[in-house]
Formats: sequence, C-alpha cells, structure tokens
Amino acid sequence: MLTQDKPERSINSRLPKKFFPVLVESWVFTTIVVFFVVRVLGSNLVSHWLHRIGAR
Amino acid sequence: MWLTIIKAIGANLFVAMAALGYGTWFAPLFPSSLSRLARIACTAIGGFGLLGLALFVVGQISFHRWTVWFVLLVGAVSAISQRKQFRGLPITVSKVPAIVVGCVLLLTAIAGLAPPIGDWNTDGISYHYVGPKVWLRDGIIRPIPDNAPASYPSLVEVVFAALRATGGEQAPILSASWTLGLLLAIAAAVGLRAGLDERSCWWVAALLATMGALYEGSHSGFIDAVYAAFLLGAIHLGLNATEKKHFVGFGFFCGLAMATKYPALVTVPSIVLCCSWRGKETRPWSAMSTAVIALAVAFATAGPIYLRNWLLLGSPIYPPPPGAAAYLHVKYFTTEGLTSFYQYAVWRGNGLGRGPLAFLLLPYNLTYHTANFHGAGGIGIAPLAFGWIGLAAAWRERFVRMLALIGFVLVSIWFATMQESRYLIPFYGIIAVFAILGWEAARRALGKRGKFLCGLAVAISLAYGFALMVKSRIPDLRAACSPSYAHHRQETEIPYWNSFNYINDNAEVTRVLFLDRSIPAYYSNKDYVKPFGQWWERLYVDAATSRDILPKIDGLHPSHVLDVISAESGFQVPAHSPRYRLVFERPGQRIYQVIYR
Repeated sequence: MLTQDKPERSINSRLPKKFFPVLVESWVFTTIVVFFVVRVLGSNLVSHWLHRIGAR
Repeated sequence: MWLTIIKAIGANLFVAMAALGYGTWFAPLFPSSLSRLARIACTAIGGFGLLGLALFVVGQISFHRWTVWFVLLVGAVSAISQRKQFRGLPITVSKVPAIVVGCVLLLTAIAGLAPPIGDWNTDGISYHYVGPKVWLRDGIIRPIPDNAPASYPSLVEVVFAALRATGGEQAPILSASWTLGLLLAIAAAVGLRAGLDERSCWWVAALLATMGALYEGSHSGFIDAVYAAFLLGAIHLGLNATEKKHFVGFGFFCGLAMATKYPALVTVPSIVLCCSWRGKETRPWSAMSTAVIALAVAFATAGPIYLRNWLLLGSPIYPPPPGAAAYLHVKYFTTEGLTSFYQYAVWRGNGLGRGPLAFLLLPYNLTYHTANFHGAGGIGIAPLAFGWIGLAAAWRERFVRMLALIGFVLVSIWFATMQESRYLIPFYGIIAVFAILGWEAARRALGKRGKFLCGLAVAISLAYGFALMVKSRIPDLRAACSPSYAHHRQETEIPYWNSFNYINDNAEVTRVLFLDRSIPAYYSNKDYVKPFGQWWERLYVDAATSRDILPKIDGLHPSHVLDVISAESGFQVPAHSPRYRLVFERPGQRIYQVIYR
C-alpha cells in the first residue's frame, strides 16, 4: 500500500538527465561493435576469407 | 506425399484442439487478474500437459490407437463446448514482429515435414521419438530396457505418441511449430504483465523466436520449449496468485514441468518459494501454507511418472542420481554402467566452466560465445544491450522484481548443475521481457541517433538469429519439398539404411536382435531386442558382450539378427554357424535368419 502511494518516477528522473542517454548509447554501441568483432569478423567464413586475402 | 502432409496437419490440429479442451477444465483455477492472452496461453499449455498426463495414465493399462483416439476425443468435445472462450485474437497485432514470428513458425512447420534422419547422436532418433513408436507398437507404455532416457519424465513424448497414432511419423515433428508458439505466447503474456503494451509483447515473441539457442531446443524432438512454457506459465500464475485455488493452479503447472524434465526437480522448489513469499505483507505461516499447497499439487501431478519408475525400474529418478545409486537397486544398469553414464552427464554439463569468474562472464558468453558448447546459436545481443535498462526502468513493479529474482535463481541453478544451453530456455523467456522493457525505456530517453542504435541492436538480434536458423534448416526444407532429395538423405545419413529397408519390407522378419549398441532402433518398424543400450544399459546384467548374449538367443526369440561394423565393434555373429543363415549383406551390414532347432 505504501509503495503504491509514492508518485511514479521513471528511470530518466532517477538518473542524471545527460548521463543516462550517453551511457545507454555507448553501451548499445559497444554491444554492436563487439558483436561484429566476435561473431562476424571472428566467424569461420570471415577468418577463411581473411586468410585467403593474406595468402595472396 | 500430400496425403502424408494433410494427415500430419490434421492430427496436429486435432491434438491442439484436444489440449485446449483439457485446458478449459482447470481454467477456474486461474487468477481473475490474468490478461486474456495469458488466460488462453495458460489454458493451451496446461491443457497440453493434462492431455499428456491423461494419456500416460491410460497408457499404463492400454495404449492402442483406439485408446489414444478416445482420450483425444474427450478433449476435443470439451473444446467445442467451450469454443466461445477462444474466439478472436487475444492481442492487437504488431506487423513487423508478427511477421518475424510467423516466418519462424512457418519455417519450423515446413522443415518439420521432412522425414526424420540422424544417427544415435540425434536425440530425437535416439530416444524422444523411440518411446512413442515402441509404446504404440506394444499397445502399452512400459520402460524400454535398452533405452533409459525413454523412462525420463515423458509427458511430451506421450503427446508425440498421440500425434503419431493419429497423423503418422511426420506429425510429432510438425508439432514443434505450435508448441514453440505456446512458449512465445506465454512469454508475451509475461511481458504484458510486466508493463509492456500489446504491441511491444509481439517484440518479446519475435526476440525469443529468433534466439538460436532456444530454437535448437524446440524442434526435431527436443522438448525444452514445452518445458519452458510450463515453467513460464507456472511463474506467471504463481506471481499473480492471491487465493489458495490459484496456488493449486500454480502447483499444477510446476508438476507439469516436473513431469517433463528432471531439472524441474531442482528449479520448482525455488520457484515455489519465490512465488509464495510476498515480502512484509505476508505472514510467514501464510507463505508457508501456500508453498506447501503448491508443492503438494506439483508432486501429485508428476507423481504417476515417478511412481511408475519406482515400481518398474527401482528408482523414481531413473537412472538414479549418484548419491542414491548406492541405496537403490535399479534394473538394466550395472555399477560400471551408471559410472559411465554419470561421466557422460558431467561431460555434457560442463558448458561454460565453473567458478565465480565464469559466472560473471555469463552475460558475455551467452551472448557471443554460445557456440562453445552444446546449443550453438546464441541469444542475440538485445538482452545484453537492454536487459539491465529494463530491470532498472521497471524496478518499482513487484512483479518485475520477483521475475528478476526468479531469473537469477534459474541461471544460478543452471550454472551449478547441467550447463546445457537449452536447459536455460525458461530464463531466455524472462530476459527477452527485460530486453524489450529496456528497449522501450531507452527509446523514451534517447534522441534520433540513440533510437537508431537501439533499433539496429534489435534488428541485428533478429536478423542474425533468423539467418542462423534458416541456415541450419536448409537441408530439412529441401527434404520437405523434394522427395528425391529426402530419399538421398535417408540413404546417406541413416546408418544401415539398406538393412532397415530389408527388415521393414520383409514379412519373414518379425523380431530383430540388434547386437551393436550404436544401431538406431528407431528405424525398425518391427519388434526388436537390443541387449546393450546406448547409455550402457544392459538387458542382462551378467551379459557384457555378444559372446554372452548369443548363447541366450533362444530366450530372446528373434527371427533375425542385424550384425554390423561400427565405431563400437566389428561383426559379432560367428561365420558359418549352423544357427545363423546369412540372408542379406551390404558393406558393413549383415542380416542373419535365426535357425531354431
């Protein structure tokens, strides 16, 4: 009951307004970059292709 | 070909209708606060479980086609009489994620029409589909001596048997398309309860549908998606339960999970504790009584399966866990056999390693390195990108906090026990909800560039997962569309295919003795006896090799013996023996007719 009486606060109001968007953007960007490094550049297909390029 | 497809589709529709019908029986146990989506999803999932239980219990006495039809008809009649409950879509459609979900389910359905293939390393061939075939042939559900996993909790496999009885061999394989749909529906309903709107719930389903690690555990005989649907249904009911009858419904779903997979024996008590404890609002006695009710109902629901194992095999959990093996005398296993089985289980469950560092690295490894262990494909980057944001954004909701706690408990138990990726599917359902909650919160807070990045992360998750699953199922899709390719695949990918053709087509063959433990008995349409099982089971504990078995051949009554060269052994039947007449030979395969004096 007590918790329901408290006014609604979003995550944005609890975190510094400028800090939160920067943090989220950087985090999401990092997950995408790591994905490309690990899953795309690190995949067998790309490794094989890079190996062929290097062998020329 | 078309008749086979129509028969399989018809059987699936009929079984799904029967499941819905059984589900209406316990719908009064659901909390009134459930959304319509959650109510229908829980009705279908619980009905599926109740149908499996009913078939299992009836099957202990008789499991002929007519008994299966009778049990299904009872459910179908209930569904028709309660049809008003299921009219209209329970949720507003969001186009893009709905198309993604539709594509995944369609891919599963079409690929599910390919004839089953594989060797003893394919779980469906080695046991999920073996039990249904043997039970229907024998007209009764009994443990298979050479196949210990067929005596695992087998609620879903019993429904596979009903599908096979009504729709042929393809029907159980095709069922993955709608059983996966059940999991997606209950996950979307959990998302709705966690604060998402109806359109965002579709994104939960889409994200989940394109998780490679989840998808690999939901088709070709794998029962993990259904198991996850039971657990998510239980969690949803448990967290919304307010009255004692709601906890009965919650306990019933927990029992269905226990009747599906052994891991539920560990996870269910923890989930019951989490759902029964209501913080400061609840008195300890009240929480304890609801927990006891739920656990009692859960054990009573799963009881028939464990009781059957205890009575017929010597242990409720079969094979027994290492600690109990010293006190229980179980059938068809020697001490050495059990030791080999445990070693195999430990090897399978090593996964991503043990220790605190491995635990802390789980979010990274589950996202990027799941190909390292059994269950390749990953879960996409969206959970890692948005999960924590969703948790922070919705933290004020008690339901969300409890969901997070249960998710943490599920991961911890999984990490400490068997780290098989597909055993974590219930958690994937929860993390997908948090990912979409986080995506919503991030979109509200970010500008154009941020929104684009977030959309890109979700798009990568969906596209990468979908591309992987299409790639993995191309051979199945091709086999479903081309009978000649399907035939070529059977010839090249089914071990001893020519011998199985001889066995199945020759009327003189009535019962076959398989001497090599690697022979996939699933492909035999005739009765068989296999003295040495894949998981070190033994029909006769004192007979360790074929030299010990062949003198006992009169007691086994085979009409023929299939003798093969495999990685396990060479030919075992002595050449030029007067007891065996060679009737069929191919490279590495010989079939002998047994001469009885």
